[in-house]
Amino acid sequence: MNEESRKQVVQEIARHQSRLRGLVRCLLVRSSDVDDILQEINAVLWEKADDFQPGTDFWAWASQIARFKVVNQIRKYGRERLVFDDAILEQLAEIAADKLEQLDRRREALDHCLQRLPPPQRQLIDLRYAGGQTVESIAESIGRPAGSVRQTLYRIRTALQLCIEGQLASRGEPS
Amino acid sequence: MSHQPYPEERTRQLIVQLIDGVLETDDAPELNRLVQSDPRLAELVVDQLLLDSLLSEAVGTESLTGLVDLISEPTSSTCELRLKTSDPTVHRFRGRSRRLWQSVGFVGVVAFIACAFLVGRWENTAWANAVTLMKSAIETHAEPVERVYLVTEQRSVTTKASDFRLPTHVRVATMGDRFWVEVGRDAEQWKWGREGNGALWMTLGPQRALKIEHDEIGLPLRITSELHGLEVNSLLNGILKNCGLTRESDRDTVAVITATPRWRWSKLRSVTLEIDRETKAVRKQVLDREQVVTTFLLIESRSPKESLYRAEGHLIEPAEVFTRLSQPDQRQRILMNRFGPEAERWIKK
Repeated sequence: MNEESRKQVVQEIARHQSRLRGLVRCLLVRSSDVDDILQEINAVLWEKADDFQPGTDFWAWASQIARFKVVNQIRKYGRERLVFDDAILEQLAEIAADKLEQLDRRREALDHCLQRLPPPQRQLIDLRYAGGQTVESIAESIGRPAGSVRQTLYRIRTALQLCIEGQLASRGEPS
Repeated sequence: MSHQPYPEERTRQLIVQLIDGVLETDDAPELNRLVQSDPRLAELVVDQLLLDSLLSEAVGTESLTGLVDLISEPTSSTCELRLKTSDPTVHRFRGRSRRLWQSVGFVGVVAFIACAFLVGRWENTAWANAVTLMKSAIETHAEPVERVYLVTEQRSVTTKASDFRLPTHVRVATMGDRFWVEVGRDAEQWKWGREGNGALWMTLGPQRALKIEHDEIGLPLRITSELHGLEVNSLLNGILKNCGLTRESDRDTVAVITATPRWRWSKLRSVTLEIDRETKAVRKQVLDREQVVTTFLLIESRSPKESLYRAEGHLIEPAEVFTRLSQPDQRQRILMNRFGPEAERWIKK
């Protein structure tokens, strides 16, 4: 592979980071492990760059490699961290790879839906994701039971999901 | 065929438990069975996990510490360059990097103000004094005076030197809710900032710049620009909610205040502010983050040059500014090349 082709592969890897991250997460990898696995995947993609045919579908190529890498990694973690069997993981990977094709639109929809969240709900989401706090620490900080916080987050996520689906549907796209 | 609500509801509950890291071992087989039983439930699981991933990206920004990233990883920190220069056996990408716009010299003030407003412990006299002092500082910094801060940083010995190419100098000029930053490293120099109308800009050499209008700024950028705008109300929704405040003993002509996150937040350990007791201007602020301490030192207060708060003020003719009206795609490409994949969402599509 010449220098120009390698440069293209690097750009494609960079461009697909969000999709790859989403795919890794959808395969039930713990959020705390996602970055590590993503970096491993990046390394493998780079090592296999010569296998990629310029002009073909990069996502199709990269997502296959990523799936293989993730499943192997999950096996290494041991049974105690496995939730789904291999067949289910394959099924989830298929669905995820499909949905990730339209990740940009999904992200746009989420941005829109986040802006519509009432401030208290938005604060809770910020605490959970921007602050990176556990439900327990959020509960402690705002003086509410953890179960209540968990339930509220559950409702917010459900509302966001419905909102995203509504947004995608209004644009005539599958959710 | 109608779908029973129970399996759907139960699947949603279990997957959220998994996302929050509280799924019981005994519940895992049930989740497995549910997903096996109906493809729609598998889709529901993917939807929830995708949402979690997107929320982590959209909201999970380290607004306060962005300047550190900017200082540490200027233009050369593209993925491409990292791949070329790093150990050939380990090519690592940084997931949440290149937060160019998540920064400016006033961030420490904002952090403190937010802590002060949000914690709500007015009964504590020392704390109330600190709030009063900070209110005065806000008023002072709302005046049409340009203040220039010299930015320096210290990294711990554990930080890999090869990970960073430090700039030789960083200066931040602030006035009200506007700012511009001058970054230099060896022969390279570039500037970026925010205009009064909220547009963000960055120079790309002496004759080129790009501009992102206020209404096309992506969510990660928007949160950051609100932070820089000293808009306390918007900060109420922010991440600076849980700091403990300490008014230290005054030193000579300055009052010293320390704000400390109550739990792990954005790798920040504390923000220390030195406020001039007479002028109420922030003379020094220190962001102490894991592995790096960044200091902003006031070096000049002067009448502002309005033109320098716009990209055009830093360019020589014939100059070109990429906007959404002129080569919008070019802006996206430039940002992603310079700052990595995160930049993809800096501009709304």
